[in-house]
Amino acid sequence: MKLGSYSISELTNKTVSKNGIILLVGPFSVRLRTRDRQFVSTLRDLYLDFSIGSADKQIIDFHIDMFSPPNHRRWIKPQINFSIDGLFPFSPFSVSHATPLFEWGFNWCIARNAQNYLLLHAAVLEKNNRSVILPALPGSGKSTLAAALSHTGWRFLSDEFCIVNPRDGKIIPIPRPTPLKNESIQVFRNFSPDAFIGPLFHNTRKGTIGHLRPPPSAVEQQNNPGIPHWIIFPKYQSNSDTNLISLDKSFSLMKLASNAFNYEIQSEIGFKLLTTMVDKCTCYNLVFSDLNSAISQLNTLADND
Amino acid sequence: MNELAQESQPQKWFVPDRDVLLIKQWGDNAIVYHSKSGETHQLNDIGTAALLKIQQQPVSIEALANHINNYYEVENPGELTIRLQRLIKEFEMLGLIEPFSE
Repeated sequence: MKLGSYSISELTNKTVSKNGIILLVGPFSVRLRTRDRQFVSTLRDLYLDFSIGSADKQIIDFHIDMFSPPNHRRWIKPQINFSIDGLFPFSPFSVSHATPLFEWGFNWCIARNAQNYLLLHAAVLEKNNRSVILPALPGSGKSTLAAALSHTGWRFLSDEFCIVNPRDGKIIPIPRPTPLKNESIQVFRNFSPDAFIGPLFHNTRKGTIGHLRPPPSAVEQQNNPGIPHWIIFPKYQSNSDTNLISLDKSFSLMKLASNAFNYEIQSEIGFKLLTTMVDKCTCYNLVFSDLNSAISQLNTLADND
Repeated sequence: MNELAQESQPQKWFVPDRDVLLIKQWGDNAIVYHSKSGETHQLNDIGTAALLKIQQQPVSIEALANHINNYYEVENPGELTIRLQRLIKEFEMLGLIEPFSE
């Protein structure tokens, strides 16, 4: 059953129960418990097409609880805690920011616990059964570009984590909602007015955030791995022309390694995975300021390469 | 006599454990992974040629300079030797190579 096939009341009844709900997101199963109805409602909107697993059939990767701390702030400026397996990795957030807290907490769980994969900080999309990896630092325009590509015929595999399976070097999709930040929210709304963006969360540590719901087709195909074909380092630069510049492979590998969450931990396996990946891919820097122009360049690349 | 001969031998350098270094070459450049330190280094053409040569057998800076000169036809051999001295120092500091004693 998909999350969207339950009403908010049905979901809330589940999330307050002992077993919570089991969200199946990419390779992970997340047991979530909460009493926050507003958070459940937003979660339903954003994860609408994801399936819910059964507690007795599922091995749970992350046991997440989102509850108010037991103090007087339950009534005055209420707060919410994120906990995993009884640990509280963050200070409480305002209860109105439960969704960004959940998303950041989920990122934290993956980066900390999913050491059986090589984890790169990158968005991943796919066209003609070939994946493009977009590794980038915050502020590079990666998420906006990935979101725009995902609404113009590219299959969306991931926004935050490029999860590489060490067994075969393929990319395991995790098509979670994309957090659009500040100006990029309006930029994307202008680009794709029909796309669903959840409520805006102001004054977070990253400014204003709105989460873009992933396309249903991306969720449907979340069990189909991607095959790396291009590595493109995007860089938004205001007023610049779109410029796709071929990049030396050894330099690309160093950039990729510096963008990885756990390259050092993976040691020789990580090195072999990355060198194999870079070997098979063509590598570029992409400087852009105009989304349509950047997409047009990437479409040309995908159609002619 | 033997001692004098040994003293006049130029210092050689070698890679103590070949399996410790994983080297991936792309064109003239390379990436080297040092599994003892867990560090990854990017090498330019001269660095790549030098490390690959040292990995093959113990070699002195002079012999290294000759080898690289044959490859790249360097304009200023004196400058190359100075560059190699710096490079060897850096390789040693990174734990990639060690002085060789016969």
